Amino acid sequence: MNYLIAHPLRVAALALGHLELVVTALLAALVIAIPLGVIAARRPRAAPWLLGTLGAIYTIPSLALLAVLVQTFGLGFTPVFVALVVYAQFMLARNVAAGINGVDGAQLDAARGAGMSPAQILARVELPQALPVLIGGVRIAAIAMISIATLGGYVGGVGLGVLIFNGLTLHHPSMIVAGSIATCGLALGADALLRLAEKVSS
Amino acid sequence: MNPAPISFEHVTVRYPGAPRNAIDDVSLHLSGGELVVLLGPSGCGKSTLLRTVNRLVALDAGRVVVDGTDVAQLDPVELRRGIGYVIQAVGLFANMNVAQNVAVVPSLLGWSNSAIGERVDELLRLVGLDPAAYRSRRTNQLSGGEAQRVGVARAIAARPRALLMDEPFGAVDVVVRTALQRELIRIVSELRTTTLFVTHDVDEAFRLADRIVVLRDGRIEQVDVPFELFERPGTPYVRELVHSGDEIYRRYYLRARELLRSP
Repeated sequence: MNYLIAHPLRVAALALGHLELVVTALLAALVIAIPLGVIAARRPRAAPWLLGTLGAIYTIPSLALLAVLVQTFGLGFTPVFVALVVYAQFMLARNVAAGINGVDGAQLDAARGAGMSPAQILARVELPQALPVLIGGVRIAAIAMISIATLGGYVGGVGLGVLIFNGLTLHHPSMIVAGSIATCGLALGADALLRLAEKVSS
Repeated sequence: MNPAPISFEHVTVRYPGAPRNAIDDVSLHLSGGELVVLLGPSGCGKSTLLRTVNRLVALDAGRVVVDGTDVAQLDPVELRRGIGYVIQAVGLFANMNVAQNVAVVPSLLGWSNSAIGERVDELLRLVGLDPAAYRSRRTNQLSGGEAQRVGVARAIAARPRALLMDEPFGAVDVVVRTALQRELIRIVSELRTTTLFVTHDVDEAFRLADRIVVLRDGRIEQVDVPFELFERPGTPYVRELVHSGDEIYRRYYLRARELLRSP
């Protein structure tokens, strides 16, 4: 706690960097995961393979994945960013597919009968109703990403992980505690905010 | 807008893997403004035949002609925007309120917001719902009967030239059903929209139909006005169908209906 009290600005700056990493990765992840989720919902036979692959990727230990990514992208922001985008796919795509599949058949029959094109059915009926489930996925993904992003301190010098890894190297426990507490704070904040969004959207 | 005549010409539909044709060489003509009921037990093909009109079911042979045009020649999306469609499960869009549901087809057609707003209020009044009270309701705050009133309003919102109704009142209780049937007769006679109505309920068919088409195993068993169908069933199957249930009620009901109709 000493470090946190002594250097609040330093911690806040790293927390901001942490948040920037997670938010940009989350947005990029959504751009990929929404189409993947739509494909999984449209192709019920391909869906287990698609989601199974994303699930398998999700089980790779993050440190191992990061080691591989560093080979390609070098040290810095990029390998952590890519790792976060990859990890989030499973949670996001699965929830997009589940949200779309949750729309009952009568609504789809009525939508087709009313003269909506497949794209209009997706945009006007399916995705709006999938939104609360998608936000639920975003919430779980965001929490996981905030925790995984601490590895950014190890390979990239970004985010609150910097405090944790520097603390380990310098045998400075209060630095580790400061980084951990701030990370937990971010995760709890994200959870509360997205729970609220989930509630409002449903 | 003039109501569209609808013709089925040797229509055949077969579902993949099915042992027989779901619809087998059916020919039938509906004049503009007519209300024709397709009557028969489940599995007789009545819903399938209805869904060929807006191309939700594809034909294996024959053609369906709406207002002089083979529907196969039309873009299905355009075709459907001109034909109202009401189903038993209603299928109101859960992410939209009542007004937005009713406005679906007009907004697809690009009507102005003010025209849509006026039309929504007009329609809600037409189906017996107070616009001020119902406009912004969520669909999960409606009873079954109210939901289907909204379903009917949605189907007729853009003044379709034909209306397809697939057991629309099958899921509501008897009291509400009777009220809805009475109102449907009023609405359809005001609009003079050509209407194809599917039911397995003989009394409902007698109450609503200008003509009844009895279907059996994908074929037409008999086509006639209700009174004739009841008095002169053409086959044992039709006789059993129309004479099961409250026969005395039906006889007096149909006699009374005939008397009211004759000039």
